[in-house]
Amino acid sequence: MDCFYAAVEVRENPSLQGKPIAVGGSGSRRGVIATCSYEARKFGVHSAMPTARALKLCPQLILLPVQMNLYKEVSARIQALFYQYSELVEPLSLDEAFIDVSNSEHCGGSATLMAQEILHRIYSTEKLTASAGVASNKFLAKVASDWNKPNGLCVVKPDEIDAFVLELPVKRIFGVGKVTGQRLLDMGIETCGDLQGFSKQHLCDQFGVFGSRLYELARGVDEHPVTTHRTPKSLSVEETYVKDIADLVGCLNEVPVLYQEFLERLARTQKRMSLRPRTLFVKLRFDDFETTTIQMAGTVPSEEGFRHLCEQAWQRGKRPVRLIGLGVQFSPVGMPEQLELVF
Amino acid sequence: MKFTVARDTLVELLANVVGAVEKKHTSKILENVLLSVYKDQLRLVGTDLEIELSASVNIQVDREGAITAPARKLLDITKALPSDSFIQVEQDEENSRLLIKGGRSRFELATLPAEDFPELDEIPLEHELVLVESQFKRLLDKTSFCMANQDVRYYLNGLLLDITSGTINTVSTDGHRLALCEFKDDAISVDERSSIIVPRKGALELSRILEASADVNVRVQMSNNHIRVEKDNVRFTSKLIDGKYPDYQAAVPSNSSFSIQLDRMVFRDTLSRVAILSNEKFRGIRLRLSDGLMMLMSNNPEQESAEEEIDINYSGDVFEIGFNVSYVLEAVNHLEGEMIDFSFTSSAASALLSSPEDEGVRYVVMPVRL
Repeated sequence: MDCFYAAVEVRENPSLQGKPIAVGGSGSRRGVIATCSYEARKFGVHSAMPTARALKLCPQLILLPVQMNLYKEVSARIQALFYQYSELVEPLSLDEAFIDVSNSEHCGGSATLMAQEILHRIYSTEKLTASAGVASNKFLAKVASDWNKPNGLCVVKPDEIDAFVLELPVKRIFGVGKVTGQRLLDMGIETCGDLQGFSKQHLCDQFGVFGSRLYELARGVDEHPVTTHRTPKSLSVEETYVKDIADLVGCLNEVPVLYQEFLERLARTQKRMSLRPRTLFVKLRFDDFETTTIQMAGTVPSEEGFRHLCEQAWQRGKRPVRLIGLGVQFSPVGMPEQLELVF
Repeated sequence: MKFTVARDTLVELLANVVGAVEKKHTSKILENVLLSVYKDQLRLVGTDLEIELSASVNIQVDREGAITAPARKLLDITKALPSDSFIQVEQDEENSRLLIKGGRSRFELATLPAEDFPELDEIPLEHELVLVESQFKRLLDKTSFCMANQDVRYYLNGLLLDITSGTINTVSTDGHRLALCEFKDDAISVDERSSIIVPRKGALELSRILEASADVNVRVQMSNNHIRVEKDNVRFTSKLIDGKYPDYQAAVPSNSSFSIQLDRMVFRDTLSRVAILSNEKFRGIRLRLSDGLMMLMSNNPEQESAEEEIDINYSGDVFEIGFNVSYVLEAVNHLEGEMIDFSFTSSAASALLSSPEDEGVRYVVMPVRL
């Protein structure tokens, strides 16, 4: 969907049409922008930006509170549409989903025609625009969906893949953010075409397991299937504090509260499926927005363990802290269970 | 500072201390080695603030002084110079460079002042004992491979030295398996029991400077926070991990239900073969014991599989148990002797590996539920 939350707000209140608007938390309470209209984007406002900063860039920005229930309702109606074309729907968020239509007989089996029809039906029932990408795998489809935004369709045919990825900026690859992007740039890599010049071994040496993924994506290869239900890989809780926490002692005082909340969520999750923690981690964001995550092997979450990690993470910044998160990563499901020694 | 030293001597000295020096560190001086020359002695020191290694030797001193220089570069240079040659090392006072001359080669290294080098202060060491070098090394090497690495239970990321009069035990565990080496000698006498945890890197570096074939004495000193080991001209010091080590004796099964005897080499080779097709990450293998036979089985996510049989002295109901094959293999590799004992209690309880020819060594391995 094109700026989904903002678009829903405009639909509900047409007087906002053509104005810079944003949906998000209030600037005085350290909120961030969830979505903003294209008019607001012209000012440099983007999602995940602190609201206070967005208002500086665009003083006339109309800030609207998040109406999650409303968006969820609209999202559910749109998703129901997808299921008319295929059972294999993998929602990424409220406004984005992969649909595997390989075995669908609609529109004579043409994925392109199905995408056009879905975009058309979303517009006629919801008066909202969306963009779609049609390709032979998830990576290319996702990139293609961003290609002609808003209200656009982009098709990457199998014989066009090589040409398509050649000029594709590596920044478009999911998982390549600021840091990896810069490291790639340092290696002289800007496009997937550049990336193709590097061996798998070389990329693995540089980027670990992500290296072999980069190697494949650079060639437009992505074997990840569209998965309909996901088992969580990790579970975490985090809190952004209204006032920065000044020192380590303050942070450690917050750990028990977060830990209790984490335990409750872990218990709820483990009721649904059997998941075994593999590593524990703590995330701190300092007042200068530097974020650090520290993790350690550990199958038994404990308050002491998280306190210990929190201490180590804090040592990396030694500054006031605005966000603390803690959680676990799970062992992949169905793997043998290594039993623990009892001391 | 200026001195001349035999190339082989300098290589050996540097090799002794470089283990403590970090390859990359934000604090540049921690990538350096301290060289100090006083009277007729050259002393090198390397540290990562947790462990410190120093080594000294008598040499021909032309001018006293002290400076720090990049440890690994210095070692690489020295190593690359011809054996049996002599090296002249000189501090260039003006440019604060370290000049190294050997034959027709000449090198200039960047330096940092010796005053900034974080040498450990003199530490009060309360307890002292003397051990035979080879025996001390055995205590470390029989156990260090089971230490945890970066575990949240920080006290497991090290090696326990548990010393009482007449006995020294070394212990390591990562929570899945445990290694215990017990050494008894009436000559060991301490006022009170001391249980100290040497950090992982310290335990590995300490073992590296000890020789398995040497029967000389090494001096071990301890306090609540430090351990220091002195051997000839080399001195090792490490901070200790402050924590309570788990009750390891409780983790060693004392009355297993049954045990089998296996030819160590045959078992080791069989494990290695079956391991090839186990899951690369989880390394699970299944052992099935039936009358007179042990069947070892593995398979991987590609549904490839391996099976092998060994004759054993077992009779009774069929018994099945799964293990991480790496844990069993490492234990078998660290045991000595022709035969090993493998003792079991149940499919969900710890198993014990030992050898009648490897006194005091016991390996406990928790099974995997396959």
